[in-house]
Amino acid sequence: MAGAIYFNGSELTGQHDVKLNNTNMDNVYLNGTKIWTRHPYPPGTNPLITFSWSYNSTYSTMITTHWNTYGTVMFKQQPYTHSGSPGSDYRIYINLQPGFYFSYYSQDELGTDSDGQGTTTGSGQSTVLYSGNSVSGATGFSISSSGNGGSTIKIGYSGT
Amino acid sequence: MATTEQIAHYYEGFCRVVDNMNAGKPENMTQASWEIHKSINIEWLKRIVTEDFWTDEDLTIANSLIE
Repeated sequence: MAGAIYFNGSELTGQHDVKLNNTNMDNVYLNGTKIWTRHPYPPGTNPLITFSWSYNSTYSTMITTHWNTYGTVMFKQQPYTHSGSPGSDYRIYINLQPGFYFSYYSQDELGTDSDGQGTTTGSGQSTVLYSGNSVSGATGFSISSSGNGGSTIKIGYSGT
Repeated sequence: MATTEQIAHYYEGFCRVVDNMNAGKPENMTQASWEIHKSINIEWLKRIVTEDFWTDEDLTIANSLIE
């Protein structure tokens, strides 16, 4: 969203409330164009989600619990199965909304990517979580997508 | 921008993947799983060698795997 709204000389950020008739607004439109929206979380909130999985994971916490908690505010759609089954080449897609990003990825055998962006930059990233036999991992990071043992990923909100 | 420490850390992971691939299928892994595991790691090696954060690390150790 381009531009800014000032109220009494201060920029009206997403962390303030815009009220109409004493009711908090989520969005403000001007002539049909959205000119302000409230941040769902304070920018810089990290992590919102810490998710660990192993070689035989069902990913149920990510597919169901986290989806039910964060919905389309965080995810472009519900994390969904790409292929396989638990313990056998099981993969799920995770697509984040702009403002959300993968802040951390660690694989038991291969190490940790904690530079905040993996091998991609910005927000609204996507990854594929993988598990099979004795291995697990996630795509798109500076640490490989398949190594022995379990893996952990974190999701944060940058707001940009 | 990756720091020197992070690059060293990533290179350690890179070398471990190369070593694992060169060592071949672990005894406790099925052939089908090994094929998938190997394929994923080879694809990762092909991509990671193109990253622009590397400095003077010897990435040629992966050549026999990705060429």
